[in-house]
Amino acid sequence: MTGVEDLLCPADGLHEEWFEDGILIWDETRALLHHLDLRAALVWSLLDGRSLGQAAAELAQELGAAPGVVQQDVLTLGRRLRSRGLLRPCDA
Amino acid sequence: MVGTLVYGRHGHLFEVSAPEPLRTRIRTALATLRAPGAEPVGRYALTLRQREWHLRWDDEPVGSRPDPDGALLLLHWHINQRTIATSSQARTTVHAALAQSPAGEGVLLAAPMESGKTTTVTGLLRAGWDFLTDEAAALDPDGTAWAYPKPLTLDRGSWRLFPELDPGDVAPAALSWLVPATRTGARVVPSTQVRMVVLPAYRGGEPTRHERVPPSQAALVLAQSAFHLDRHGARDLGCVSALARSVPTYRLVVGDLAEAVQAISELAARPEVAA
Repeated sequence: MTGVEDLLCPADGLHEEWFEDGILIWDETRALLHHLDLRAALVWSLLDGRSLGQAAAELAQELGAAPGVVQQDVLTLGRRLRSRGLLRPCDA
Repeated sequence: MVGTLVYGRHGHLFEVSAPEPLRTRIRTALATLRAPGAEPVGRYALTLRQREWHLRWDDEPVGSRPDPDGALLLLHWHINQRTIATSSQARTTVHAALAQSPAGEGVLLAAPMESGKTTTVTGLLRAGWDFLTDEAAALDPDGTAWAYPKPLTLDRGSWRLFPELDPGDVAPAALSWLVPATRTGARVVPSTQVRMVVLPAYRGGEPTRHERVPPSQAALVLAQSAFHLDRHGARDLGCVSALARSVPTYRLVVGDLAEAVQAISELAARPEVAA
């Protein structure tokens, strides 16, 4: 299980295409295409060496939202992205 | 040989040999795929043995069918497979129909099988549009799209809409007509600039309607329509993403062919689409 403090980085072999309404990511290693909506794309953009906890705190500040609620959403999304192979521990 | 004519596009260039009367049917069906002056890379041979039509590609057996209609469809299927394979190696190639409006706007109709691509594009051709393909469009990242003018494959469900296109030599039990697009009166053009993407979905009895598709959703559908995405994923995603950013995409529910043709014609004339 990915913890709040684990530092996460994008997996290798990903090709991103950004749009005004989301991102498409091609995973070359697994030959899989992923679509993230705008909200997920915002979280994705923060997970470049930060932990889920750090990303949630930054996002809550940026959105002016309650940190607890944002943290739960970011945790759920981050774990989902990790299970799909899009994120890896930065030290791996 | 069928008069030693060469046919094909995208590197799959071939000759065909067959006895009459199948030879004439092939020559008619493949008329828009002729490639004068091109060097063939191989040869199809259709022969009748023991009441079966046998198809070979060079020295490799492809398959056999008990009737000439089936043999023609088998030939057509193999040409499609090979052409899409060679096209995909060179360019992003998507499962789509492609036509050009009388004013010169290329419209890509991307959809899976049985979504009404061929029926819709045939309706456009009858309304004066130019033809590029009803099956596979090869794309450049700058929005140029290249033709694969194979015969229109009109399935039984569409025959009543195009009685004037009945080839006249197809058995009543056949699955499809193979009709050269020029029989609609359309011109075949080698390439076009895509100005609009349409995602058609046939829903008989429903009102014909359209809605704008956000660009990431449009790119997702186009990427999923790419042949051999697994082999060329990064290239193909980049190509369809550039297209989805630069031209509008509309989802079109097709309840009636005439209404769909009118809707696409009106969309193609909008300022954000028109050249």
